[in-house]
Amino acid sequence: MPLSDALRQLRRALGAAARHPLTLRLLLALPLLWFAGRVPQPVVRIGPPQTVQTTNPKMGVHTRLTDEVEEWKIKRTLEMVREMGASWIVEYFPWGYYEPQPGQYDWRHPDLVVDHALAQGLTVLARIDFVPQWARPEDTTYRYLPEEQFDSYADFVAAFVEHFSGRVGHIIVWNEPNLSFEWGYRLPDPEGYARLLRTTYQRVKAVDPEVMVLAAGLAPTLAPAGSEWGMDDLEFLQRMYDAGARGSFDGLAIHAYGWVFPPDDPPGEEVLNFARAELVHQVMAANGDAALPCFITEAGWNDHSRWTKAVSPGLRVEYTRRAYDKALQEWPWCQALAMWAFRYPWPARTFQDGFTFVTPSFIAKPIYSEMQRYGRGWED
Amino acid sequence: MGAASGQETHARSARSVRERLFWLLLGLICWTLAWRSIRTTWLYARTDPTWEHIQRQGVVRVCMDAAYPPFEVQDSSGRFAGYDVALAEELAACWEVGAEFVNVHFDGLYDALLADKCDIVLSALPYDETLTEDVLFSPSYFNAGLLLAVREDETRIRSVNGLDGKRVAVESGASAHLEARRLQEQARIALQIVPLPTAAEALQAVAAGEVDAAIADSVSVYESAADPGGIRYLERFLTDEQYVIAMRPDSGYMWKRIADELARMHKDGSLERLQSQWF
Repeated sequence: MPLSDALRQLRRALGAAARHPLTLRLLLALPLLWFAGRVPQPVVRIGPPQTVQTTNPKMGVHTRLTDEVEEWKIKRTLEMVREMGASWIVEYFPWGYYEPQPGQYDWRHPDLVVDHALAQGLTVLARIDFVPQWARPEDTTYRYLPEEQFDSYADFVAAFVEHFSGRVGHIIVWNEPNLSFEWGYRLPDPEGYARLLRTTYQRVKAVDPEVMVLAAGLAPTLAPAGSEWGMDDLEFLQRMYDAGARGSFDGLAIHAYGWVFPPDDPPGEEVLNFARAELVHQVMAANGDAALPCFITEAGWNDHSRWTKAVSPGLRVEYTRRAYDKALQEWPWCQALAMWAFRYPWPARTFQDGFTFVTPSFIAKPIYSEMQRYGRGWED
Repeated sequence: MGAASGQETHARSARSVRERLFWLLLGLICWTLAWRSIRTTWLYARTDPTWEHIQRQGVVRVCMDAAYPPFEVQDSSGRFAGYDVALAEELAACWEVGAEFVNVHFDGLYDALLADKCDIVLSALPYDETLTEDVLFSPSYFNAGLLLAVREDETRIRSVNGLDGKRVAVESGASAHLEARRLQEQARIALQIVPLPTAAEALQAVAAGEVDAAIADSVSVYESAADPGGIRYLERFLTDEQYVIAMRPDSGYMWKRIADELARMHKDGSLERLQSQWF
């Protein structure tokens, strides 16, 4: 076919298309499609860097932003932490969320949390656990980490450290491994945990020697020997040392709940109270680690009216204030005291709500206002 | 031309009817298959692994965090007591098996269930819409939400809107306090909040005429309302805290047995009688 014929046919086809009633509609719809296809720009800005103003530089809280979807809520939560006068946050970074397939990382959400925290002038302690589906057998819980996957966990922590280099300087390896629930409903295994800690420590140090690796906070418990539910925290720590854990951590996370006792209630091996943290530190000292810092990453009192382990809201305020003071003045080995829990993304609708400082809808509880008065030095 | 056009229209119409019939038939087949699946899994299934285990062992294992009176507590001798304990025993009796209680910290309840440490969780457990893929929840057996209490002879306050300009007692720092603040700040109701140390004191203040109303959790309100000559409460809950029983996802038949028993107990008043023994 000669070229002129082909061009004529093309022109005819174009003319027919132009006259088709759909053409005009499509042309009119194009701008709409263009707008619809645009990715919306973020409306929440990180904002200029802030500084925490506080009378107690050890004040901290455990935030729960893991499941907080909306960025403005992440930002508002961290703003309120700063405004209260707390410098430290402990946050939970579930491995299973951020490495859904081996080697595939998704740092979008943790980036939001960390960047907003840093902008508020806060120091982040990152607790890492939660086993992804691919790293555990079927029909196990997300806290079940088989020994053959210790390397995978360590690899993830190393990747986390590398990604957050210069932004997150403290890593907590696992959580309460002395409870069978936190160890995938297997018997607590201090020797196994010591191996996990050592593996992780070596991987992290190879990536960034400056990052502090903290051994997990143990659940304060008086479980009898051989209990299927848990192991006494002091015994667990000693057995970690016996298994050669010394040198595999730069500091220790401690959980120090007060339950119904005041912060000055004296510690005792058969008592669960806030000052039990001193006994934990004594175990460290007895094993040559007196100089290692401790970070209390969970602590506090609950003021739910129906729970048997709770106190009144007034006592909770008094005890919390005294606990922050005690950490500052009497516990030089303790670098930070983070109270559980600043705010949940949604209400637990049970006694657990009695631990929080702020409601999911950002209404400040009396405990928040009082700790702000203390932290900011607004008291008479 | 006219006849041809008529034939064409007729053919198009026949084709359209055929298409509609096809989709109707396909829809019916889908619904039939779905209905059969629902019937076999939920309505007419006669067993499931949990139910089989209970029947084999002659005991239903119940996980609870026994630190929450009046729902569940454990005394120094290790004996369990409370409304949830009584409800579990009632269910077990209906199934002609025993009830065995496993004390687990609240944080570990769901994992204990999934790790087969128990057959059900019955522990003042609030319904959690984020976990419906992980466990089955029974229908609610109790609402522990907030109620508005007024004096027995008070007739003007019929809802929270009637609290404008009224003095309302709450337990300081508790969920009732936060709800009162929400009404004040977000619902713009000009009520005056009177914080008191406990819910019981807030309700006593209503009975004594020191305040116009009180907001408190339903358990506290039911306890106070049981005393003669004191307070009454408005039936409508200010907040919902529905307590449910959790089961493993493969417990479809078990779910049905529990739902049936709860429905029966609601209907014949035995659930209310059981409740009145505890609050």
